[in-house]
Amino acid sequence: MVNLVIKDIAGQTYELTGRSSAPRASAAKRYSGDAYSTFRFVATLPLASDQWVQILKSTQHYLPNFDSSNPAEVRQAVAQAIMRGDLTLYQLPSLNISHGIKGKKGFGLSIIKGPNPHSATELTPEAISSTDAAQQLLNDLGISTQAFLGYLTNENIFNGEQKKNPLSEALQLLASGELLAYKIPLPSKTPPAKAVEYVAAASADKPVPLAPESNAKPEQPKKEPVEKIKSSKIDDIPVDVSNVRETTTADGKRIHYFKQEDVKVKKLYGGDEYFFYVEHEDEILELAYTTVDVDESSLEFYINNQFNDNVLMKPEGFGITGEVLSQSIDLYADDHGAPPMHLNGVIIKKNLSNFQKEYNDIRVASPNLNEDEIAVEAVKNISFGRERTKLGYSDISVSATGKKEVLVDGKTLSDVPTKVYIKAKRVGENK
Amino acid sequence: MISKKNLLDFLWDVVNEKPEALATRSVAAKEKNKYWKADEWIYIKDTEVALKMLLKDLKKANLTFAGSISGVILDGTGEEFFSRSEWALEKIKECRSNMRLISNPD
Repeated sequence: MVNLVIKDIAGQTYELTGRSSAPRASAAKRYSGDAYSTFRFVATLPLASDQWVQILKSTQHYLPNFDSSNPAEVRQAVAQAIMRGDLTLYQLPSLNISHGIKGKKGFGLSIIKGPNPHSATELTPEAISSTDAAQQLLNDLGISTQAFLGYLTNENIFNGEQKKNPLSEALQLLASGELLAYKIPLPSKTPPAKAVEYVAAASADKPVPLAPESNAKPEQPKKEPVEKIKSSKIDDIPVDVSNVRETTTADGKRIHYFKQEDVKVKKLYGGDEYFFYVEHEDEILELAYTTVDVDESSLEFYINNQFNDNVLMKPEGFGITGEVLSQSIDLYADDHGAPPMHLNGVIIKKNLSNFQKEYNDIRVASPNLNEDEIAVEAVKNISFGRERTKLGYSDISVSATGKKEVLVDGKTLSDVPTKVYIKAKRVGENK
Repeated sequence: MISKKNLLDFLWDVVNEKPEALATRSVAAKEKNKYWKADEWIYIKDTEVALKMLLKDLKKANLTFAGSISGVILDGTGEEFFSRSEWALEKIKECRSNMRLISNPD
């Protein structure tokens, strides 16, 4: 019987089971793909050929002839076993704050489907025996109703939109164990009042960290510690997770990996802009800019993981957009006494292309929607909208103009907007 | 609002960290719709960043551009100076595209 947990180099965990085994975690989501994508996916998992061969043998099902010393053939055999259903891969949710709700006392919450807990964590879910206890937990962490419900919707584990009393129902799910809440410590950071300085826009200025200064040298690609697959059933399969992460992209760009605590911020122009970046040796690697509009109580963002020639910025265990938005909101709240009311902005480049693709797809799939509704739906389906909704900025309106034919990823899209201004208003408490 | 030509020359001075331009840039960040339309900030920022990357590229190659950046972007004058680098030419294109999208006068 196969039942393993595999952790990939980015920290994502999977359960791998045999034909007769169910995953241990209720929140596990079955992987499904065509033969080629399954083969590609298997290739990303950090298991050596001999480890895969042992797993294949333990399924005790038919094994095709393959050269066990040829990694491609071994992966092909694994992909075939998955396609036949002899092996099943399940993705486990990430228990970190990038996939959680930030609280105010150094902790956030990550909520997953229950009743069976996450199978690849040492954390235990919060003991919640009643709706009052669930509400108390939210109160203790300073998590608003809106943020809580917005998060559940975004994670696709509860949709309160059509419910009479969504909060009560969601709390009930926590009390009954159908949803499990994990308390996640937030990464430490230096208090902004001390950490952030007002500086001119000169690149030579001393950077101000969002996290405590580290004595470590500037980031170099680091070796991950060797880990072993956790297995409750077959402990005799040793699986090393060695560092096999890519250092360049397919088109030859250098990949610069960085951690949440490497992200630094400066206030520019007397606090009217925030500048996010990562230091590497003597170089400043840009990540994002935020502009502050106090009159409108709004922040607008310019985020890009490819600012620099030949360098792709890759965060480890968190999302750049979520981090920049959250940090900017915190800085604004510290300066102005409350979070901004809006996270507005014009979308360009990849965001615009993604919007145009979604706009085109929705228009075809839902011919009854009017143009405004299509635009709003399209925004909600792209990371721009998702990240805002996650943070409680879910009242979205769109001005989409300049319709024309565009080429996106080699596909011609006719009559799609090219100038898209989005207003995302905070809903819920503290208006 | 200032003209596209003045805007580009101003932003080039900003990325070159000329003190007077930096001081004006601070004012521009506060004065909504005076230097550019507030809701077109992203195009301005994208241009500013593209110019900054252009400058980084020149510095790496130990080159100095003494011509007019607005000329390069608005009518292609002196563009050949940057032709050694596809990346630089791409940044010039991005600036050009942004200039077509903003409301500043020609």
